[in-house]
Amino acid sequence: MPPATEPVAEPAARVRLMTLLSPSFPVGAFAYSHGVERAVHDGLIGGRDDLVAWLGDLVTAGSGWNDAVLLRAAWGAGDARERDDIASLAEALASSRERHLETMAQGSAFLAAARAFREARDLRLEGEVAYPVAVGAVTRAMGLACAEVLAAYLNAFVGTLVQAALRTVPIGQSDAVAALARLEPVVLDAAARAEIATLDDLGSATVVSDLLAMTHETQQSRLFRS
Amino acid sequence: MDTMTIANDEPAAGRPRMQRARGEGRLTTKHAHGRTRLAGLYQDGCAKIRLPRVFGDGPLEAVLINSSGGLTGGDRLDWSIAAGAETSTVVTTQASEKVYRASEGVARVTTRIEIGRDARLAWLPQETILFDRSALSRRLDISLARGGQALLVEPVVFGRLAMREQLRRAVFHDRWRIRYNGRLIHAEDQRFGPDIALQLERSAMLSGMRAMATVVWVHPDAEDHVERVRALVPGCGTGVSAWRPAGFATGKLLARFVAEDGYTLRKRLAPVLAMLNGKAGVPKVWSI
Repeated sequence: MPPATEPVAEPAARVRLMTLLSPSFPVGAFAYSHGVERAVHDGLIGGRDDLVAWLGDLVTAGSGWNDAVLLRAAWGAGDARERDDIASLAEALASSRERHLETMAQGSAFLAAARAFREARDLRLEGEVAYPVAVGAVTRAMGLACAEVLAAYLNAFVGTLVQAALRTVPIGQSDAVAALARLEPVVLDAAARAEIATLDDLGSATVVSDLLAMTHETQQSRLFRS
Repeated sequence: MDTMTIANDEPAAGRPRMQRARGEGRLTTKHAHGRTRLAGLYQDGCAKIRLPRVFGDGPLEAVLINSSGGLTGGDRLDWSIAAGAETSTVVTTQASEKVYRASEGVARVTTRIEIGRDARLAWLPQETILFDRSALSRRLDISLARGGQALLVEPVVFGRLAMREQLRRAVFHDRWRIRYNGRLIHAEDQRFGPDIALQLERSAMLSGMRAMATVVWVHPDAEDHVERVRALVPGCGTGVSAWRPAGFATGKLLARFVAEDGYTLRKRLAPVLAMLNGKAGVPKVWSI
């Protein structure tokens, strides 16, 4: 893999990250709830406080944390072969059929959309790649700083799920923003830890969240694909 | 070689053991005259292997024994199983594995399983029970040749409720890497602690439950079995899912269980394991 290009000047890097990880970047993030819809259905998330606790745990010690570790590894991969191994691991870690779809479909869509930028076209990474690996590889090629990518990725992760909750839990826009405000330090802390993490640091404790991502498959009425 | 000490069954009285338990057990099976036979056996230290059902037409059944009576910090146990082409093997453990308070260091257990062409293997150990201040790091590496099938389970119990044991601080890491025809088909990475008392109560983690299990079934018909497995374990506390990742000539079924205690967990797991292992059956300890 070619060395990272010269770091992009700060405002340009910020703008690029905001584009890549904004809700309007066409990866279809709005279609996935990562099991949150099921947790709401089962009464485990009933309001703002539950939502903050749930998402905080995912980011600190669950599937969100694993995503961050995988992104970090993909960003730092020495060559294409190492990156492919990380991609295989990311796919194999998907904890249910719908979670698998969630990460693979978003990863592939991210790669396709990112081809609007020259660096992503030059990367020659195509096809089915798990989302955090796609983001890690593309942002590395663009010379974006890993620490900022991790923070932006995890912020987008919780942002997507807060939006999903907004459509299923009786909370309003102000609650949603308050949830994001409370999750900000959690996201920043996890991002800082992930920056110095390696694949050895993978590990999730969010068993019930993973389990509900499976039972979501049998939920009768549902808005989301996961 | 360290002198083995037999761990005290009473954790409250468990003194730090200065000697470390070591064990290594290896088992190899082969196919001959339409049957699965023992091809090799090696045992060292506290690792013992018993074969209660070597004869007959059924699968070869192996029972793994940790004769040190439990694990604590610094202990190390390594199992290695090679199931030859076209064999059928069922592996279980003689007792639940208790992981006691660690005065220092982490207990490490590794299991490597190679499943030959068109062979099937079931890894059905009894519960691992984590005690307060225990530290366990475990690795399960499975490699299936083309046509191989595997049924894997690891039940974990966080302290024993009936004994009014409270788990406050403990560390548990369980890493699974499963390869099929050289490619990674499934991975698990579970990591708890050190503040495990808090984690057990968090709703996204254990939601107040005290036992959990993960089941992985690598089988070409995995997707066709989802509804049947779900029908065996209705209600909450179990999730079942199956899919075929692109490029694999086999599928995988994944089931996760949480339960209030080890007994309830076992009652829900047993029929699922019996169904998925089909004609190969389950060891006596798993037939409830």
